[in-house]
Amino acid sequence: MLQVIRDRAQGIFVWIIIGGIVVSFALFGINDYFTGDDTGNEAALVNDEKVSIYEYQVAYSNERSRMQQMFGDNFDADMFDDQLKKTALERVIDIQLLNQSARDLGMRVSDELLLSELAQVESFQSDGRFSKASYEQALAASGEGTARFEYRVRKSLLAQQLISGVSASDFATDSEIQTSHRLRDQERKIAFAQISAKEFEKSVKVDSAELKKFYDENQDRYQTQEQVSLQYLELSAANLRKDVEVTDAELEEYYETEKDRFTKPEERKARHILIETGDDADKAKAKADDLYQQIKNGASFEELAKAHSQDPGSASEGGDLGFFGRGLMDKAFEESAFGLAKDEVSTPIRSEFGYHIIRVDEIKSGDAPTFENIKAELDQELRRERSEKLYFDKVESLANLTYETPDSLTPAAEELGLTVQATPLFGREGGPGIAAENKVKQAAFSDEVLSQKHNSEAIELPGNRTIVIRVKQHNPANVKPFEQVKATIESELRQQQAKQQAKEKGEALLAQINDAANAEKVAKQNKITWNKTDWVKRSGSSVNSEIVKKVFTLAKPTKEKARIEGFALNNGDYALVVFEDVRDGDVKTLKSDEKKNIATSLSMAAGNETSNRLLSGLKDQATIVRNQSNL
Amino acid sequence: MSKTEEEQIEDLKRWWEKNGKFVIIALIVVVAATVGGRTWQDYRETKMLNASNEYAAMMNAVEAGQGEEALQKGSRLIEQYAQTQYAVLAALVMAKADVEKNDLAAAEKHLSWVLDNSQDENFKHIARTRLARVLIAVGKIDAAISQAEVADKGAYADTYSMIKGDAYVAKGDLAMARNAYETALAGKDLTPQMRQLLQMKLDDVSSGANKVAAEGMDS
Repeated sequence: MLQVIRDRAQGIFVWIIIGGIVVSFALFGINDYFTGDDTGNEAALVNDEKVSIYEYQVAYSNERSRMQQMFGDNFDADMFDDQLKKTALERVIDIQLLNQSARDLGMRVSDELLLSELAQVESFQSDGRFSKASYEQALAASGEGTARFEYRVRKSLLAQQLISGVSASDFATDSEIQTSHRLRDQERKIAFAQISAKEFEKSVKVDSAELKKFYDENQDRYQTQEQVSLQYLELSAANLRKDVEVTDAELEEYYETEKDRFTKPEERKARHILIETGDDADKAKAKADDLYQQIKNGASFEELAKAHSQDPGSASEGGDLGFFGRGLMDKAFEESAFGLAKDEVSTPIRSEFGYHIIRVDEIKSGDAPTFENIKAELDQELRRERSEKLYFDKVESLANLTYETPDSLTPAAEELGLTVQATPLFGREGGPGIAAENKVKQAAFSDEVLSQKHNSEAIELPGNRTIVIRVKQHNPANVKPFEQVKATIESELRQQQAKQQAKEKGEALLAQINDAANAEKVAKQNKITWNKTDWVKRSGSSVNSEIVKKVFTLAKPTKEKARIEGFALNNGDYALVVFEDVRDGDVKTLKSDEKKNIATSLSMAAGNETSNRLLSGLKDQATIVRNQSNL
Repeated sequence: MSKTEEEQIEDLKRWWEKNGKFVIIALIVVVAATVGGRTWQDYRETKMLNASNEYAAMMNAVEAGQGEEALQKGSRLIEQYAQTQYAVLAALVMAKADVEKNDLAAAEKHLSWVLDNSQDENFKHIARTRLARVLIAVGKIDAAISQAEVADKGAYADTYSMIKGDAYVAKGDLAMARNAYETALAGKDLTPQMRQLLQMKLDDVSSGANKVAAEGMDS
């Protein structure tokens, strides 16, 4: 019975929370997002309460991945970035508002409620149950920390409690369900004809004086766009790499300074027997000493570990701990384990857990790789480093040289060994290659470059590239010559006049029509196809949807008199319609599951409507400062 | 000349005999007020938290499809936590259950309870609009219209107009219905679904003069 609420409760606002939890791990590593809170760098102020940039960013990446999911690979998030930012900001403002309102109304989120929400998050679970350790680890990894995270989740939970209480409790009464069904499944009985404008196009006469007049009056429609093509010099670290020389001697020297980076730390494989200290350290020590003696006398380390070791993780494996590096084990244990030779057994060592007897089985020494092994890698690195240095040296010369000779790129090209390259013509919206870069577009149409014909400043592009541009050719905006657009104008005027003639003819026929029967006769006399009377639905009918749509907005006919209407269609045709009758969706044949579906969708619509109003009401009364510039 | 130590002590004793009672009473009053205030705060806070938990449990029952259990929890919320917002939310949820069981009298009662007991204008509007819709469903059309004509409509003016349209259709007064639907459709904040539904209702009482539905109204 209440299933519907349940469906609804999963609706709009739930994803904010669940999504929020997950995404914050996926996307943010380090804690530079928190500084915003305390410095007045918040995303928004809602009735003087701060909404942090971090909260906004979580909402933003949520919104982004939601859109990505909805539209798949075709979704170009960058194109809608402004929209995404706006939506995300409004979303966090909504949450803040709802949260405030809920608090004012005396609503609270208890620790139990918070916990039960957290328990559902998979990344906080281990073995399918909420684990405090996993939770803290996950939050440490995200950099957010538990306190801040819980604050944020509480905020969302409270907002959700309020809004879902409003939206999920909305309903649809029986009479609303019936009305909806009656109207949605309503059919209208029509007969119609379409007077084709195309037919008239052939006979339309358009003289050239008319064409010229239209051309003169509509010059703005025939504007060509302003275009430029560019000459440019490009300096890039990648291109400079081939100019970099690296000798073997230099590589060897580089190897000596860098090899530590390539050295893996030493790892050891060891087993141990642990005797826990418990309450009686002396007793434990005695037992460990005894075991040590037994091993010295030839007893099997593995067997003794199995029988006596109190380390539950390794005892059954004969004490085997596998490989480990430094920094993982208890300090005393580590010192001993890394001090032993292979196969050597330690005397009992005291750690914070108890007494250990350790045997080292294998040693993976942390040898540095040989020069030959990493030579290729080092070569790459060194070349990259040097080409970048060379690049930064040359960038400055490029800037200076092109500034000193502002009316040519050639001196700089010769001095720096670059080639002057060129782009095809492009407009203000940009073009291929470098013309796609915003900075280039701006510079190309700037006063300095376009009007004064000077070299641009050095323009830095991503990926260690710098370019300097100058205009090669400039085609100002212009009006296309008459001859070039004459044909287009003619076909346009032809269509216009054909449309007018179709309308005139249609209106003339309309005046002769009284009912469906006589309409058919009239159509026949005029050689127009008459579509006989039939019932049409709102959608899914084979009749032109424009006609159907219009028919469903017409006043209903009476029993005695059909409605006769004529109207122009978008393609220029004129439609004649005889509208005879209306048949509502049958409420009696409505099955119970259909009824339930209608109830669900109506309740949802009503619930969404109400929660929107609640929000807009809160918004109207609130003081909201949106710090768009911070985002 | 300053007084001797004994004299000072004597002074103090005399002052205490005269004022001591008052000081002690004042102290007791201050302490009692502080403690009492704190206790009252704590009591209220605990009550809110308990109500929140009860409400969450109710919604969990709803989610699990345990209707009876949910309704019991809801009744208890309304009885024991009548002063809290959670009672208001519970009553709204119960009204929905009433409507689904076609027990419109009960729905009317729950919604009226919210209207009478909620101190919040938004929730009064929510209860009133829903109440008016239930009134239409039981045929109390004039009562519904008078609810929809409340003076202060807050952010819910379009909703009230929509309800008035439905009410006038039920009354058979199509001109008034048309008027009300047109008023509602002029609103800017309607959700697309609601706008589509409204357009359909308006079209059905069309006098032929209204415009074709704007872009994006296709179902």
